[in-house]
Amino acid sequence: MKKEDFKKKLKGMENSVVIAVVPAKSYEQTNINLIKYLTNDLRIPGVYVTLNKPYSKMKGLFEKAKIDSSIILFIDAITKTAGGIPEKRKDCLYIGTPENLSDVSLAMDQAVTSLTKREKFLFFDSLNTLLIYNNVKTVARFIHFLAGKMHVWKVRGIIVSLQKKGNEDLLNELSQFCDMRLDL
Amino acid sequence: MLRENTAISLIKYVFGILVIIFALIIISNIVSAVELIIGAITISVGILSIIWTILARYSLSPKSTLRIFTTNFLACSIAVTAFSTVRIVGRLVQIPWLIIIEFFFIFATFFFFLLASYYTYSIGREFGFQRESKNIEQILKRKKPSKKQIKAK
Repeated sequence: MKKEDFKKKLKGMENSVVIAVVPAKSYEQTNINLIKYLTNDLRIPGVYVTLNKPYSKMKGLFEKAKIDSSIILFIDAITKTAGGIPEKRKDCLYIGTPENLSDVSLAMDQAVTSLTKREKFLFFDSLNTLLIYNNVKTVARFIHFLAGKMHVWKVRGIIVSLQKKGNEDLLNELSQFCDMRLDL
Repeated sequence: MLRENTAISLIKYVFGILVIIFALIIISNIVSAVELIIGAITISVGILSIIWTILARYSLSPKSTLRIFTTNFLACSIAVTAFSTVRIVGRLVQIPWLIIIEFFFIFATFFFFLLASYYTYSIGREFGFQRESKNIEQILKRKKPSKKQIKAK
């Protein structure tokens, strides 16, 4: 999907939770386009939760795409830390493992509430990686909790999921917690 | 019929009040010291605190920072409740060496309290984003939005 297309769809979606279903082929580019739109075009600070690619890789991709990542706080739940204990370096908090949902929740809560700007975003990348490390019931409960929290925090919440055949039932169930489903 | 029901209810209330008064008389005869009553209340509060902490601990992810903190807090609650129990037992049975166990539990309480404080400090240091968010605020102030960005909003 072109940047202009989802710009139209996302316009007027302040303080709402969107579940973005992305095809595997264009997954990386779509994520970059979404973040570019939020940071460069709208100039909104936010939190990027990565369960998929390490912070160093994401930072590199963002720099390559000329995304202003200085206004993003990163939560990396994939890079292994010593003893699996959370560690903070620069603008990123390393959780250690995507199984540790308590720490992911705590980190998101702290990162989002620390941003004083009225408008902010929370980008959760991605639902599929969460499914690798946790069972479907836990993931559904977590997304329900996350969508509720996103409404309380009054952020533009984006939960990314890959377009997969087996995922459809879960996505339909999760769509009811979110304000909008974007098939990109 | 209505009068009969009212009479039965009245008898129930009177009987209930008599039972409470009777129970209070028995308790005051058994437990005469105020210290023991306060001790019993303290233990009840401690046990409730332990139950709530255990429930919280089991709903948190294994190896998570919050779970480690909760475990320490649980140890702290157990130690302080044990201290209170030993103290009450000491008053009832008058065993002199129980003071050593009291000291042990009060030391354990402060030790776990220190650990819990350290974990609170770690949580604040690791999970706190105040400094980073202030940097973002300054960056946003420095770089004012362009006309294109205002239009995009």
